[in-house]
Amino acid sequence: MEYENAIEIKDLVKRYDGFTLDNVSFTVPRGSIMGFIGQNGAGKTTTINCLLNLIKKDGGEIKLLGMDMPEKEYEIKKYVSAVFDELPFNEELNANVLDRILSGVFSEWDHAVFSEYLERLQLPSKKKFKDFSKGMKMKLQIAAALSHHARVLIMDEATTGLDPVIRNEILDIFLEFLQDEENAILMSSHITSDLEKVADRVSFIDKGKLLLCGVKDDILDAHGIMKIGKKELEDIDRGDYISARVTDFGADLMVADRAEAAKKYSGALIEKTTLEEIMLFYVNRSRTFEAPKDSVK
Amino acid sequence: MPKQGEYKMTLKQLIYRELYLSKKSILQTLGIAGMVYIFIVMVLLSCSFGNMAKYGEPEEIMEIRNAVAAYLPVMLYSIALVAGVDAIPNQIFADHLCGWHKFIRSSGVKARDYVGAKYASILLLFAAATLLMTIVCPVLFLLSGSGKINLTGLIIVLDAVLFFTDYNLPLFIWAKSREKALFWSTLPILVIAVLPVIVITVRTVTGAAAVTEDMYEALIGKYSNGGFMPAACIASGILAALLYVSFRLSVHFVEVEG
Repeated sequence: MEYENAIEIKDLVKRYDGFTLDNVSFTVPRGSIMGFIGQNGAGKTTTINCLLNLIKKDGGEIKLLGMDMPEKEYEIKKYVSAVFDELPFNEELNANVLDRILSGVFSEWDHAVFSEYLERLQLPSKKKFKDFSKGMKMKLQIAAALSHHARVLIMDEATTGLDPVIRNEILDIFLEFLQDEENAILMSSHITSDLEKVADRVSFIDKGKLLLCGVKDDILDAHGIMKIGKKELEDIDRGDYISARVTDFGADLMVADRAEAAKKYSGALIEKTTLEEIMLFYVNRSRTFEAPKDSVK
Repeated sequence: MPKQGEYKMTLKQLIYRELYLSKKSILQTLGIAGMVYIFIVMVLLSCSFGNMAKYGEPEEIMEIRNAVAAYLPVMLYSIALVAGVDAIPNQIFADHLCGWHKFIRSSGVKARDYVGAKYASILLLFAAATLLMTIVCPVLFLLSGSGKINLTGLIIVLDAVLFFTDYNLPLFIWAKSREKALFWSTLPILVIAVLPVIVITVRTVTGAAAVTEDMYEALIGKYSNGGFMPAACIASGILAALLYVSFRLSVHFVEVEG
């Protein structure tokens, strides 16, 4: 297999009543983690379902590992693992039985690797899954996902609801997985702090449209929060900021080009921002919104 | 594309999963069937060597033996087959609840393998139940002495089970919601149960009691003499062939509906 991008999505369209995934395009180069962020209902799961051909796309092109989806679906899926937010295995099973079942599901299933992961993640092999904690269930899913020599890991809100210790343990495993530069991860999550920690690239989707896509550090470097007084807000050109958050003490404006804004509004305080703030301001784009009282810094 | 051997491996492990998850239900059914069997054997032993043999009227004992031989194996077979008819379709809901159907499709398992495992598991349970009956029933017939084997009854039970398999699997995959599936699944049973009530009502209203009574007697007589055997066998053939249609329909629902 020869490929530069592990995942390539071009002009992906999927239409539902009241929702359209609108010409979404992005690539995940091999050896990288792409963080896929957006609110609930923004289109993350729809994109992932199209990517895995769980739902039929209405337009656009999808390539995984250099192969066309859905034409090469079964060849592709030998090397792709999907991790969902809930354990997809019946809770009456245990890890030993699952090992046997998945050896039939994945042609490249590796019993030894699975046993190693069970041991490393301290997962009991004879205990029924119904007696597992949420963290254990997620670790089990990841162990299963990594035990058939997958090249691409697709995660749909997989770290949501986990405590920070387990999240860190899982993130470490992902970084280890990426030591093989043929591999890649697409990770959709609400928890932007996780993505800030591990993602190389970020895509931000809202209401079915991709608003931002690129190298995470470039996005974080380019964006900034300009802090101004309430009265000064009227003096700022509307085209120079994404949206404004009004607080009791003034207004915060999200600017997409920090250097340009600093040049144009010399003297204004422009702070570095986070993915969470970027997401918040983009969701409220083209309008001024009020900060919740308890969140004002 | 996965090789032929890989499909066989997939199917084998998926069948293993279905049977493993149905284990509890199968064991419960076997327990009930076992108790019924012991009861039948005890009745027959009592007819031959126990108090019934000592104090009962020979004609009465003969009647009991005939009835036991004719009807209880049918009941036993029904109980044994219920495990497959009930457990496997119910597993479809468990799959939906935990997201197994989504996982399996994201893993590159074809819809025909996912569905095929369910049909194959039911057929395996049928085969096991039939084999079990073949082993245990000769003992009953030997003990019953002059009792006749009610093959028609056994085939009708098999027909009913085939009908519910043909009908239930695509229905449960299509319905997605347990309530919806159970409603449509119970409907034929309700119709069958309500039918005699309708007949009795019509008899009473129209005053055709004598005619229908004769008809009823004739039907029972025909059934007892094995007169329905050819029809039951033809129905089995048709219902078995319809399994393929049912399978294709189930695959279609999985592919289209996810």
